[in-house]
Amino acid sequence: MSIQDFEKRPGVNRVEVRHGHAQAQVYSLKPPVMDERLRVLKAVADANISIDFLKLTEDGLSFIMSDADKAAVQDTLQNAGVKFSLLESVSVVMVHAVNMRDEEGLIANIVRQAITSGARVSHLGDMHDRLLLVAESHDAEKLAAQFRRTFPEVRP
Amino acid sequence: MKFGGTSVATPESRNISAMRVISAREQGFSPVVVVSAIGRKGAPYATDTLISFLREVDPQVAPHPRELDLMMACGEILSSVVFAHTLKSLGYPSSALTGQQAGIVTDTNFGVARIVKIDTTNMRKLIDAGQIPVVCGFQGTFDDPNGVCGEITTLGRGGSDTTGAALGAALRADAVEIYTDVDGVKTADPDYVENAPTLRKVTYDEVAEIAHLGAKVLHPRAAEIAMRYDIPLYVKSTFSDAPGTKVVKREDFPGRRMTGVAHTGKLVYLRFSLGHVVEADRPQIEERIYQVMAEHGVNLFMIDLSPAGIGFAVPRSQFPRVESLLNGLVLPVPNDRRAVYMIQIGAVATKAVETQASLLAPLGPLTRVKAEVVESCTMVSIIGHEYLQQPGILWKAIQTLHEAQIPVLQTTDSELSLSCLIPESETRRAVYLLHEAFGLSEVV
Repeated sequence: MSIQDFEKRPGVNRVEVRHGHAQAQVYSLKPPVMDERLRVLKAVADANISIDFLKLTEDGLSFIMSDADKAAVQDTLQNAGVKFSLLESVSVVMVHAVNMRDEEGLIANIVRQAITSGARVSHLGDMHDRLLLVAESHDAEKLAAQFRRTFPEVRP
Repeated sequence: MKFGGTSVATPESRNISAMRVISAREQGFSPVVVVSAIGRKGAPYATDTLISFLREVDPQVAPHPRELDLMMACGEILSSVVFAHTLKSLGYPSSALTGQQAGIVTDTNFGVARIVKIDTTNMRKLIDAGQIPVVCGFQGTFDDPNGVCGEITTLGRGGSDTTGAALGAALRADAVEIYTDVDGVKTADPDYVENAPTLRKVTYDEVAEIAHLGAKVLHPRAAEIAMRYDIPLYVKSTFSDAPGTKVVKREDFPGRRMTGVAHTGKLVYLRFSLGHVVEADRPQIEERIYQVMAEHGVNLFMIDLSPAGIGFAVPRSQFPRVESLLNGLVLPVPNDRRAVYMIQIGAVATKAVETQASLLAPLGPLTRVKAEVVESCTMVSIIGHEYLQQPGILWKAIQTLHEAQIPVLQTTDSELSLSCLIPESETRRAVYLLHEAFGLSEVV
């Protein structure tokens, strides 16, 4: 068993970009905003659309869906009578690091690098072994390049 | 077989634990035991007690990480000696081993060391001689080429679970069994959901995610090692004969299912308003805030980057440090406008912040970046396997909380989980309601 192989090294070890998403941003919902958010989410659920990266904004919400569901989301939101915009060519950048919650400061450092890259990140999520960043596809590549430059352990 | 603090806390519990080891031996296995320090917080030989003992020397002077690790390692050494003697007194030859004697070599990071190598020679010799090795969890050693040989390190949070999984991998064990005071991995904290079922089978990813989101059941690092080396891992109760939870690879447990509900401890949410900041200056301000958090090892939850500003939650225990780092922090932005920004935590500036502002006045106009503080929050999460992507799941979770008039301050989700930031006072109700809404009481 070689020295490098026993436990994975701390820190970022892989960066991955997944394309093929779109993002809906619903805004200017009437008060009570949470009731309206739920009405929108129910309409999307009833249309049998799978969504991810749900984010509550001050007067609405945003979420991403696969490109294939874009038209269905557009119809659903139009029928729901809410103001919205659809952002095409959205990607998810996955920054992998083992057990990242115990690497104190690591998540903050990844976010810092994301800001440094100049990319606009619209939402973030995390799992035990990765941080997920949602951005437009051209920005996603910028983010990935920044992470690969900053974290030397990242595999090519 | 790894036994946690409560499993070795008293002579009675040590006897029960020892009988489990003996039973394995009688069934023809060659058990290797890993033990945690005796008892939990407040117990005389528990890790926290030993740390307090050292810190009492002078509360103003932090102990050196090297000495702190030496001190903490004493807890497991005591425990292994007492447990080995318990086995001997029951008629079974046994030897206590420190991390070094067990051949555990780590990197040089005191307090958070990673295992880099395990030399199983000593353990194999003992096993071949019919002995039961009892290894100290949570510790290893390294040789400093410029200093002392055999420097003792500790492995950080969940260190004894990590030792158990690592020894299982190094010895190519048939299985690793983690013994604790609950029946296995539960669908929710049993303090919050009485009779929460025990999951019979769960994947490494699910159990790691449950731990990541706050449950104290099995450390993700141990799960990661077991997964990497394909060692079957069980979480069982020392004090019952329930079958426990088997932790398996994803491909060995496919399918769509809800796994459980988890909750973090107390969090404080900070929301920085940046709507009034000159657009060109924003990246530098945001970057500086995250840089300070990174440099001081602050653990961030629920990160939000929005046109109106940025936000994140920090553990309640880290908030005083975060406040002292950020409140009054000056953010000079190099540009021809000579813009100077200063962070103010809370709606009302402290005296120190006002003093800071008056000292900066001669430099030109000062723009305050105010952070709204939402105290006493917590994060409640549902975890599922190939489940959350189904239409309507996110709606159902938020609707459940909204119907119960539990405010949802923010959400975040991933492939395995959906987390909602809620007031800490609502944790119990939220955990219970989500558990019931997703039918987790029926899980077998």
